[in-house]
Amino acid sequence: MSSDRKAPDQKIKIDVRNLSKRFGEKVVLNDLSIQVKEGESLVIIGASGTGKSVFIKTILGIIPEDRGEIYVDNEDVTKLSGRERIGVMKKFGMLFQGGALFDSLSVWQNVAFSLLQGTNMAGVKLNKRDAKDLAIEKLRSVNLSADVADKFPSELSGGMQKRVALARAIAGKPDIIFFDEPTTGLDPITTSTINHLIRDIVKDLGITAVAITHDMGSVRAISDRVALLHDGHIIWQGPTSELDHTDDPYVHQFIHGLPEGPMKVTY
Amino acid sequence: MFILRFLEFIGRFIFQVLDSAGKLGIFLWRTMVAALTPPWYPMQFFRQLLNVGYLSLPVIGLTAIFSGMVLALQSYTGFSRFNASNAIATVVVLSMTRELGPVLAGLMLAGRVGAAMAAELGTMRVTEQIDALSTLSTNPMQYLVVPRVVAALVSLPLLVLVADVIGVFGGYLVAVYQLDFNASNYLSQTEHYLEVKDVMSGLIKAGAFGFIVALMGCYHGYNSKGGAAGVGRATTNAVVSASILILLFNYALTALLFNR
Repeated sequence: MSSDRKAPDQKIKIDVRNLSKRFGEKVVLNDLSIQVKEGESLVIIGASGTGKSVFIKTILGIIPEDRGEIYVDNEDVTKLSGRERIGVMKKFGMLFQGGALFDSLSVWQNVAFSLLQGTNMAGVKLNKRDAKDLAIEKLRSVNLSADVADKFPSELSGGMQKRVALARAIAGKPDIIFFDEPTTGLDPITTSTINHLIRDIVKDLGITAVAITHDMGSVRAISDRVALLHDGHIIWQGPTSELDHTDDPYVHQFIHGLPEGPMKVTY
Repeated sequence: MFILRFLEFIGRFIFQVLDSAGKLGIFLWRTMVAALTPPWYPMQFFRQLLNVGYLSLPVIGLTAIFSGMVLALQSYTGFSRFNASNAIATVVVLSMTRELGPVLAGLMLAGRVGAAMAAELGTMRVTEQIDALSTLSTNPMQYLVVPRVVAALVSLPLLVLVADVIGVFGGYLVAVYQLDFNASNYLSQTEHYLEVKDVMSGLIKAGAFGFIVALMGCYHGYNSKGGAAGVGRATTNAVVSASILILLFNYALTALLFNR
């Protein structure tokens, strides 16, 4: 919504160049290039099955790329060894689609995971008591009360799990945070709550954010800039405010949800 | 036409076998590298030790006592036909320590622990918890796989040692209370022909079987895909492959440790 944070001299945080990935015969990412500036909130939209999740997971190193370069803070992470790459992960926080909370750990242990292991940005390793205090503080920041701290993820509702996962993603004070379909499967009220939380957190902490979604409500609520992924690469990108004014037929079809248009959705 | 299709089938089968063997080999290599490089997770290890070792005691104990009892009865049936029933104490203790202890404990562990590992890691895979671990800068091989494999490697020999004692006791119960053997004779017969290497060879087997069970459980769980059905497949494959490998390696190790 707001594009006031854009400045011409903004640093490039993530620079993806000619990224390609195929699974067997199926080409998922095809020479995909995109830049993410420091502090901005980029949302990638695209139909289901167009490789949005694969894109994020490739940047995170969860899925190995076939070709291309991924620069994070001007460092090509594709050249790093597995161990070094897992170290770069400290810069990232990730909110998974289903939350992906560890069900063998309590809520506060989930939130404080990177603080207990010492695998966060600052490299701090807290003892149990401090970690729990900090976890409760993070839970408060996503509007959850302290009494959920000792529960287990399975005891929480879907919306609460999402919020715990959000608290976990920000607990390590990452530079960059990724959101994979942050509002899928939630009711409209929880959806807008989560959207506001994301917006506030990204703004307050000055984090660079990349989200993928097909929910236009989320797009308008959380993005500074939007990119449309189709056929394995970005076919349109621009400020969120331009979304409604562009005459790009792909964008037009997507944001209005038209069955007819240049994009053929095949399953 | 038929011949072609048949050859194609054979070719594909061989490729699949080589493919799985290669994947398993890479997984094994990654496990060993992960085991030898820090960080280590002692809390995860102790948790697994409790689960794999301590909590398997009832199952292993029950298996052992009934095996010992059956051994005594069956060998009496055979040996009494040529007046060799005195040998049953020796037969029971040698069969238990060298063979039945490790094999039955390994198979029970495959059912109890291997299946659970495959289901747990498989669920973690399909719910993206394994991916979440790496986004939290924690290597899932080190955090999930190594503690399980090492715990099984350490606990199965200890469990087999317990199983040996319980199995011998089962044989003793049947011999003394059902077949009217003299108790002290039976016990001295038990230890008379028993050698350290009998027990040791069983424990070496047990270590190998524990490793196999955990490795197959973790491998199939870690690589599972396709939701609930995939987790189910992973669990089945973990138990079946672990059981077959146990029986296969049982022969290989017996032949290796065998001396006249």
